[in-house]
Amino acid sequence: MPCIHCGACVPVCPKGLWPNQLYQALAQGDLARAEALGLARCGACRACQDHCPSALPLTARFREGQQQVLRWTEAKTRAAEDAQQAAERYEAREARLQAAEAEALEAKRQRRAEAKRRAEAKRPAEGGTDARRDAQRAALQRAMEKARAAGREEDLARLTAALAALGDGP
Amino acid sequence: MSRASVPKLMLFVLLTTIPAAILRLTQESPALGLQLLAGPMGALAGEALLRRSAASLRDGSALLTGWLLALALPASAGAALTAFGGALAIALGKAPFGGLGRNPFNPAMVGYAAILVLFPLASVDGMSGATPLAALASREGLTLSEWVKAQPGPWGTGPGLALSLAFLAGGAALLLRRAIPWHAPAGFLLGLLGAAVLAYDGGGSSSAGHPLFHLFSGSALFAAFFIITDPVSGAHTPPGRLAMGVLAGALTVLFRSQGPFPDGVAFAVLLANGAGPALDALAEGRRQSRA
Repeated sequence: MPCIHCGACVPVCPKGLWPNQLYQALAQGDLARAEALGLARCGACRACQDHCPSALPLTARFREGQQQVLRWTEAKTRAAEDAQQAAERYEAREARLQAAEAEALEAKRQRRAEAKRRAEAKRPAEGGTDARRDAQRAALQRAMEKARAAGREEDLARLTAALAALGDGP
Repeated sequence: MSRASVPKLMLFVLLTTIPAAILRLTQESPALGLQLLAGPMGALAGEALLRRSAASLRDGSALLTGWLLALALPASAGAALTAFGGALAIALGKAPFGGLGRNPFNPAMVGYAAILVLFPLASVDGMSGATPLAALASREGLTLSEWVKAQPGPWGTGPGLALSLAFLAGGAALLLRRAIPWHAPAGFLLGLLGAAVLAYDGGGSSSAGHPLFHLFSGSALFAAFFIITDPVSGAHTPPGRLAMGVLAGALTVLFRSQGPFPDGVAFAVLLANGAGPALDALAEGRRQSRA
């Protein structure tokens, strides 16, 4: 016989549960509702079952339901742990990737700086250093002395222009 | 009773209505006996046709449905219409939902409402004939006390009072044997009296009638102990049943004073049944938040 919700189980439950509703929730596979109805408090005393006119296996169903809830809670905990671990792995990997990227960037920056420094060291050949320019200036000045002493006016003008083109000293 | 069983429960409920049935047979006509047989026959025929299982005929539920329907219908309905109503009760109210234990609405009241709507002339009033409730509704400007004086019974109840008392006795037996939870009947009586007190304006020409008149006339006590108490239909939790009873009782007074039919018990019960699952959900929610 199916449950007719006669309610004979309700007043006889020492824990004050509603066995008919509990049985229905479990029959529908609604463990959350069964929990809310106090499934965990059932002490398997069989009072409801003994008073059931439909002779339903209430106590056995409630025991089974309690185990289902236990497995369900365990599965929920396990799933939460798995999710936690996955999140940690993800974060660690993100951090690793970011560190590697930053390192690569830094290495590139250093390589560039090194290359620039080397290029700078090679440059004197074309532009001329201060020392070289000083020597040129001194040579020009000596030549100008000679030209002035010899009275070579046009040479002197040329040398003066060259000296001006060389720019001021340091 | 040795061990409780569903058929025994159904038969016990049927047994407690026997005094009221005998009273109706003597008060009205012996021909009513045919109607009281036709109701269960119609319901069992419906069950046999639609459930296709011999076991469901023996659980006593269809028998009780047909019997309660036959008791609720006036003698003017006759045996043929009552048998048809019994079959409708199963065909519309029970079989489509999966049979015993699954019907959301009281099948007897589904059959009753169907007959009332399909054949309004054959079933003018509830079981007590075309009487105090109908007379009260059409008393043509008489004040309540003037009208009450013209009626035979106290508070204007007429001959229906004895029948109401017979149902009250049957209900008391059910409660004493703990065959039904007390919540739905208590709620029904509370709702009926509460609404009747509110609607009673001291007895003017528009008064809805004395609260005790409402309690002891028509099918109020029959509904309180034999209809709203159907365990399967409506609410299934103690607070839900209490609330469903209050709703049905209050709606009965409302439908009696405002509705198109003299007695609105059937529609009040069906509406309250419909609210049952929501009331249960509320009760479960409140219980959980307290725990």
